[in-house]
Amino acid sequence: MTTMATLDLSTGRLESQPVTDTAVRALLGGRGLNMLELARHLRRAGGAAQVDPFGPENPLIIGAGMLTGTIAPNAARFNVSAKSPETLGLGDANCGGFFAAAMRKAGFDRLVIQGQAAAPSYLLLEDGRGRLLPADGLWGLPVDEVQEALRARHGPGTVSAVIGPAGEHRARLAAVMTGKKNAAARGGLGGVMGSKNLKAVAAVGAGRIPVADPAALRQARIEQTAYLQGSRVVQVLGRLGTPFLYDVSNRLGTIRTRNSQDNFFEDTLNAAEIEKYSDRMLACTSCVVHCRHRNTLGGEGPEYSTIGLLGANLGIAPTDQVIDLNNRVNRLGLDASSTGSILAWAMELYQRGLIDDDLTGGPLLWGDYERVCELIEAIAYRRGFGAVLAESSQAARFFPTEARRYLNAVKDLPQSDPHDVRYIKSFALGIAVASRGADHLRNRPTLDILPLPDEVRRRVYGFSAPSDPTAYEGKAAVVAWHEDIYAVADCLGVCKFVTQGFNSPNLLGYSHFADLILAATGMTFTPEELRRAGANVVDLERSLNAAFGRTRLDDTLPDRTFDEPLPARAAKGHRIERGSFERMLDEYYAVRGWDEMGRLSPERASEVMSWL
Amino acid sequence: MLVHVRLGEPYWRQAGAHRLDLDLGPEATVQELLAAIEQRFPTLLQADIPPTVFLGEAVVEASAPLADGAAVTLVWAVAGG
Repeated sequence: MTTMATLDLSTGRLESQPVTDTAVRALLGGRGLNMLELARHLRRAGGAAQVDPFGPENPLIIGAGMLTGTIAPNAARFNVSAKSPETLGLGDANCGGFFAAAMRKAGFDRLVIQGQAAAPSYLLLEDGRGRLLPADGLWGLPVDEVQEALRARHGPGTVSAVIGPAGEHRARLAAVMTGKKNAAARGGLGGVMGSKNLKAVAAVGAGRIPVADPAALRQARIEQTAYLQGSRVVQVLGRLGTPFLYDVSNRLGTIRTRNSQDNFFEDTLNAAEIEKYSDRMLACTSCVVHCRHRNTLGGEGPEYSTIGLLGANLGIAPTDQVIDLNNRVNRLGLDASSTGSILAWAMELYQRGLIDDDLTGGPLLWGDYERVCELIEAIAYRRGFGAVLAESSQAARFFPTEARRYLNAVKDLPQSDPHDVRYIKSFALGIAVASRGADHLRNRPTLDILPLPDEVRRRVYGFSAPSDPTAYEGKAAVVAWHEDIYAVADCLGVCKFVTQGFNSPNLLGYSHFADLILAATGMTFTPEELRRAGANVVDLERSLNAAFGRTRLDDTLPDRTFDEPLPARAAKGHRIERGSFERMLDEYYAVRGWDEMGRLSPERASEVMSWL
Repeated sequence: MLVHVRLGEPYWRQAGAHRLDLDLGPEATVQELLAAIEQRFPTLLQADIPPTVFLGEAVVEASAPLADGAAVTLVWAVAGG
């Protein structure tokens, strides 16, 4: 039985209640049940569009996946959800590490945190009880130090989700963090946590997570682990981590460089250079991949996204400088993707003379590592020009109107990954329709870059999909297929690196997930029912976006994507043609069963409302 | 004809070199180049996920013809982040 605890920080009252079987069958857990609670709470608070993201009425929801904390492969993950201060829309971020397993072992599957504490506080979860304690000596500490302090107070097994100075200062690109680097990064939800005066949720997880059939789960774990370990992509990720993706994008001419004015950069950011600073590979709860570097500069990472966005996108080439920037944003509790994107935006505005020293307080030049260090700190503490950049996309109001043209964001969320989407058209559609904004982890059809034989595509998708990555036609169904299975992975708490379709046709699919769910919970799902659950999450998020006032007009791309062809390498000349994009969008809406404006049918909207 | 091959991530690690020079027959195609690499490094390439092949800076198909002195790059076709 899945439970949900509601904590009112204003009163300190904590109540727990079971989640209905109907809700679990429809939305599974993790992201799905978080979205349900978000929709319910925003409706009760007077409507999604009206709620102040930094107000006490904005709920901060922390929910573990259905399988999280069990021995199911790579089931470490949880979602943090709220109205986003960065986008003023749907805020949802997914995170790995060890926190969610500890939260469940402390007796909590899902927390809905409302109100605002009178003074800086933290929540301690232990033995099914929650205590709100003063954050004396913790407020102001960076991410790694606050976790260390909590371990010193409550024992070495204490695992925490925390905010750094960026969250305390309500930076709109602040993350909720656990460990040195694991981040529920997207959407500025660390700022929401800061607005509630909540520094940390600390879990002392000594209990057991109930499992329906431990022997069957053990057997599934053994079989699926062997299957995954036979996968080349799992082997390579375990050895090199995500940095190996940089060379691929760079060679193709699809690495976002200097705010996407260029499309290739230096080889100094290749995996072979990054690994010179790595002394160990690390894992999350129950992981069979081990993709995270521990770096010799005192942190963890960097990932491919950080390499691209704090490296190529800012024109910074030295490997050690990019790793250092990665460590800085993590300690301060900033979203590396948004930070790199917003800094690059400001640099281009400065380059074009749209902003000047009067606003910026000094030059903003490509490749200026020292200046970037200074600005990262200034963003986290909202000092000087950093206070403007801490507004993320909302900083547009401080700039000339023309500035928006150079912002690489969709639905006001800066693009998460460094892959320029002008070459592979399905990637472009994916970030345009992703529910939380420009983000590759909602639906990236990574198989589109693989020259897979037709029969493999048919086996994976169940339909014939065109193999040309630069084609527009037939891509909508591919995006929807990936969107559904990634939603299911997020609901189960399973990492995408072992989810079918993410860089390999051969990872864990719906049948594997159904076996794990049956063993862990005793609930039976067919693969078709699981895919429908994924579609339920997508439709619920669509209805939430409608409540935020989002329409078809928001399912679009930055102007540059349409208007400026990629300048070099294999992808040279590629851009997104507007008419073709609109036809792709029509096709996508039709595949999803939405109308031409991207709205749910009245019958489907009623069904979604019935879950609330 | 002599073809210069650059092995990108992660192929170079298994081959133990970033670059290879391969002597192929006249009128060889990319397909024959891949077969030659497979013969020399039997587990380097995967049967079900072919590499992305660049001839110069252009992405080419397996049927693309090669010329003497051609510069070919092989990278693993992945794009997730």
